[in-house]
Amino acid sequence: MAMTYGTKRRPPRREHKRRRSSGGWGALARLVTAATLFLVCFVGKTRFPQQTAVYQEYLSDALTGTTDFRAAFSALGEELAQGGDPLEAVGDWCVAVFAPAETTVDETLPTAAEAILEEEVQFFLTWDGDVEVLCAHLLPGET
Amino acid sequence: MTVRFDRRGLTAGQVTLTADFLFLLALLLYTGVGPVLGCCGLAAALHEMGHILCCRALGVPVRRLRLSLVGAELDLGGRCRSGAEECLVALAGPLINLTTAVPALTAPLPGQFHYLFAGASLMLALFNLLPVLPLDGSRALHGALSAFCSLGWADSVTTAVSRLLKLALLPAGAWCAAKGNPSLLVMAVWLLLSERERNV
Repeated sequence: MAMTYGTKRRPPRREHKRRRSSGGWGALARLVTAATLFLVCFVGKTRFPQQTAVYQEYLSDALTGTTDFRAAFSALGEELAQGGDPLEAVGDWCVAVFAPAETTVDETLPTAAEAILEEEVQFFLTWDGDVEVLCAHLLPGET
Repeated sequence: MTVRFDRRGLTAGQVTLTADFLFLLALLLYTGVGPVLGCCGLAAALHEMGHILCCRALGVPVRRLRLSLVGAELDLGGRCRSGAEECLVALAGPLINLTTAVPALTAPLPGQFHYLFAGASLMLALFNLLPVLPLDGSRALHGALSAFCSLGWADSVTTAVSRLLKLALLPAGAWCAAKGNPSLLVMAVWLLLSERERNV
């Protein structure tokens, strides 16, 4: 960041020849590629959303992990609008965006256990209060 | 308005568009951050307007507005006349973001968009105030320091502070990425690339 103050202008650089050389074509190729990529993304997102969604999640995860920027920004604004402490709100934002993903305990049940749970829930939802039916259900081999 | 192309990119009037910026935009568009991108884009436009208005008020000519991997950056051609002027120009952008965030927070509007915009504006202002090159905070620090000491010393301190923060950010980002959140690492790499881009 070497700079000087004052109204003196820097001496003009001698780069006109370099600018006209192959570097210009390389930059043009890069610009055209980028513009094409941008158009492909734009058209793809608007016209073929399902096809473009294939790698979107993968790429989004690679860049941001599980961070929901929209929710984080909105939460920050909402917290401040409700008169929350600005420092605390900014701290919460930083935690939401930058903090490591929490190690979550897998709370999903195995398929077999889920089926049993579902069966039991259905039974108790439809149970008419008859104790014999309940005993027969809970102790099927005892009757 | 003249349109020309050189190795810097496509220039229309005083605005230069580089390939990196389009790559970045395509990536952000593809990853589906539309509303966030819109709010951040609006906040960034207001931010740059703040810099430009301050330059106009102080009589500092703006040579070029460059849209690149760094985002939007103003090229003043090193024509600030003093450290105080450099400091004011640097702080004008974040100041506009802070002042536009306040009415967005208090506006009785339905939906979440104004909260999103206020949050994005506030964080853009705070992020830009970090004393890391090439952000506004480092320019403000440079301007403030040069009011009290030599330009060479101000350069050295600004560069040292910036490198120190980047060095701290990288391992912290790598640790967070290893734990499943690459956001900080992406930001650290982006800041490193931004400085490299500016030095080119």
